Amino acid sequence: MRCEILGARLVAAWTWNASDDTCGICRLPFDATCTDCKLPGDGCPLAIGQCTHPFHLHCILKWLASANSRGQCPLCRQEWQFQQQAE
Amino acid sequence: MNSESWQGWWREAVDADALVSRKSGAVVEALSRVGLGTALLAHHWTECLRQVEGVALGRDGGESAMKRAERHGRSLAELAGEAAGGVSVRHDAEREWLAAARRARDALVEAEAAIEWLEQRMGWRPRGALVQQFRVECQARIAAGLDGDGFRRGMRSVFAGRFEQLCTAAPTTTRLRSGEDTTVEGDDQDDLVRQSTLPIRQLSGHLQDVGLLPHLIDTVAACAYAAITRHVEVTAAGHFSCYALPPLLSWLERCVWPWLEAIFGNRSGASLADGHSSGGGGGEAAHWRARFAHHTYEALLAVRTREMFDMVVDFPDSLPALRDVRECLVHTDARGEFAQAVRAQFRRRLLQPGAATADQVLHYVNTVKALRWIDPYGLLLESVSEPVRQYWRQNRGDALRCVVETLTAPGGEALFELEASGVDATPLGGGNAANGDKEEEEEEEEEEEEEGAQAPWQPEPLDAPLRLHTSIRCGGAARRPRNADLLSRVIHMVSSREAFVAEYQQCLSERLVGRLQVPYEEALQQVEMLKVRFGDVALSRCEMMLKDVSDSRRLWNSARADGAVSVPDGTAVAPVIASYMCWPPTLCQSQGVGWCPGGNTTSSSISRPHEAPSLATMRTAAAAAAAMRWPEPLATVTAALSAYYARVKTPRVLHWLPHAGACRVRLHFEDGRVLEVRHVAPVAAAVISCFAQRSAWTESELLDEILVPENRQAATGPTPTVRELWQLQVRRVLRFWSRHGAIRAVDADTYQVIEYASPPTAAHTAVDALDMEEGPDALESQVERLLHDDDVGTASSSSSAASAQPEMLVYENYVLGMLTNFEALPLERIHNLLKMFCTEPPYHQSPTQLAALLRHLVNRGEVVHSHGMYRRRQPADL
Repeated sequence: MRCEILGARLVAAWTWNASDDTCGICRLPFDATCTDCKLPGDGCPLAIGQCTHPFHLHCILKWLASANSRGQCPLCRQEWQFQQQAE
Repeated sequence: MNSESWQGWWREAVDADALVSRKSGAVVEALSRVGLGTALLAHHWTECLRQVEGVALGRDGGESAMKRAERHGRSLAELAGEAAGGVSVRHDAEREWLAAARRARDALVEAEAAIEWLEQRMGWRPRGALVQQFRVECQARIAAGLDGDGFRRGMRSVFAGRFEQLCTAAPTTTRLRSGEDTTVEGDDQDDLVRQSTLPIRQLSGHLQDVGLLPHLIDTVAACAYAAITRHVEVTAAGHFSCYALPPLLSWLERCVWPWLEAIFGNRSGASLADGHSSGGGGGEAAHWRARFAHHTYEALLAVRTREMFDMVVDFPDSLPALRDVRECLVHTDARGEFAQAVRAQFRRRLLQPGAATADQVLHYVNTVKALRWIDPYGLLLESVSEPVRQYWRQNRGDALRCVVETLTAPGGEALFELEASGVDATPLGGGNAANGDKEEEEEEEEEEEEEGAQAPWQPEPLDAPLRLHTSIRCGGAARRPRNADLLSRVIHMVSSREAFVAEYQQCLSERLVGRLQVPYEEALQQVEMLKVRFGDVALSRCEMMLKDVSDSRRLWNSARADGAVSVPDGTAVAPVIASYMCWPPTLCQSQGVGWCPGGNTTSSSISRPHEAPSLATMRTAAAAAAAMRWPEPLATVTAALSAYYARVKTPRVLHWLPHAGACRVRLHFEDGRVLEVRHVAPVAAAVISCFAQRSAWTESELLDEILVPENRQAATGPTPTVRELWQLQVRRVLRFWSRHGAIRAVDADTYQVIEYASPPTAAHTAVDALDMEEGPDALESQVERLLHDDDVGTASSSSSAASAQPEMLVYENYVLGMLTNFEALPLERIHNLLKMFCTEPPYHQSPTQLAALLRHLVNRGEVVHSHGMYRRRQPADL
């Protein structure tokens, strides 16, 4: 018997490949969005600090903009630096 | 008075006697057969004699006059009674009746002449009073002597016969036709009508004279009613495409009025007014016309009511018939009875176990349209809907599914009138779901008020049942949006709007990933239309799903343009990359097999999606790979696309879902057979491509072959391992292929390719797996539902079904209590509620363990599992 696969609709699901599942600020999954967004994925990207803590980009920006953040990572209180994405 | 004058009086009296007897002698002979004449004569005699006697009394010879009167009176009265009794029995033919009536009238006239003569001679004052009195008494005597029933029966057949004749003679078209010849034709037709009613006109004239006509009013009316009923039956029954009312009314005009005219004629005022209070002939005729017209409406309504269900089934074609119903309901006061009859009819014909839910949904949609057309207030619909709603909620768990499928099927949007503009967009409050019904209710009230502000207020119709008002006011089971649009109404019948949206999402997901061709444009359009009804928030997930599909298309194109992915010629591949949070959970898992968000395909926690994932395993390189080894060329494509995706979308990774999606597979056998199957899951394609490499496989060999090494270990703990779940899946796939004649079982778990089919079958078979699987399965599930009203079959056959773990049993009461308070709950909801509220002892179990407990309860008969929802078993289920 010979088997030909003539066509296929393949289905995949994407996830963020980060060291945590949920954002430490909004407590929502990364695979969903932050509280302000509607579109997960490109619409609400992830930001990973040099301390390796990931957050929703919008969440961490909001956090950094607030006065009492003092530019620190909310989890480890180190100074927040964006990790370079390109490797 | 002196004696001389008395002598004169007496002589005259005797003369009169002689005169009457002479005149009547001939009449008696002629009428002996008829009896009426005799009766008249008898009366005449007595009357004459009494008058004479009255003259003679108080004078000489009075005694002898008395005696004569008595003697004549007695004998003639006996004779009259006898004769009258015979009349009705013997004479039923019209001609005889006509003759008899004429003779009776002649006799009466003659007798009256005699009396008049007598009066004249006696100088009675006022003149004519005696004749009048005589006539009245005479008529009474005749009537009393008649066999009433027989007489009416006879006359009825005469009238009915004449009526038939008139109907055939009367013009078949309405008189009011356009054109110049109308008047001429009209006159001709008038003549025709006059001619055909002539005999009946004569007969009724005679009957009027002898005073019998007033006794026939009921008979005539009954005759007319019967004729109308019959005619309505013939005209309207079974003919839904004709608006029967105008022809019927014109028929009344053409046939019934002339006939009534002929019977009651010019005397209608006098004769019909006897029994009724209205004055004037015109008023009387109008009265009768109104009655007959009313009867026509009633008869038509009865016919239409009887066939209401069939009319609903034929809906758009039966609009003319529905128009009849609407008109009739305006003219009769039968709304209540109509509603009751229709309700009973629907209960009998729609809500029967044999009817498929999809058909029921379709018919109900038509019902809504039809009844709304009849009664814009929706009261009728309320009364019909209630039993349907109860039945669906209790017995048809798949009703919601059917509604969604009907909606998504071709033509579904038109069916549900989704295009209709100006609907009330009631956003499904995303935030207030937790606050429960109260807020919703307020919202509804507000809506009502808003509606009221827009449209001018209309009072409720008078026949609106009071009960309905109160139930709406008080909320509760009967509370529903009464003027909501069609879709909302149907959704309300089966479930809530939230459940509908969830089901719609499920269905949309199946449509988007389950086929090679995606109906993207249609789906997009439909989601837009639903957004108008349910609000953007409710459908945001559906929107996201559609966006995923279009994004995937773009990504795929750019990947190919990039050269990152190459697809062999002749293979059409299209991926869907899903933001799984927006898709229904069944996308990722089916029957415990699949990819587990937040978990990891390589760990055994595959069926515990809600457990905290172990990050170490989650982030291994293997996590990105599929649990299944994909068949070529799909393996290359998936791997390449994964790599491309990881590159362009860092740090995102893909997880391929082996049970979702669809493949088109063509098998070439040694004997030249070709089997082509569309819409099989990739896992089925993977299995069958193993058989292409080697012709015989055992189940466990297959598992080893298609699973990535990490998933191959056998069960060690109480929860089923990945391998065990896959085993079930593979078994299903093997059954599927055996059913299509590709492979067969050679022993307990070895399967072999059927290279040479024993009876050579068709050389080329094309199968649509969707059709093949849906057909028997759908039927099966329906049968199963009918028998058990639950579908534990497949669930309980899985490995851990036997009994719940002991530590779970403490939650049993929580679960039962929960299910008592809620109508039905899905597993996930129960799990979350337990997590939220169970503190003593705290709940840390997995949904799998909860599922085992629920299966245990199902087996004990306390809970029913149906279409993913758990609910307490009701007494009705047993």
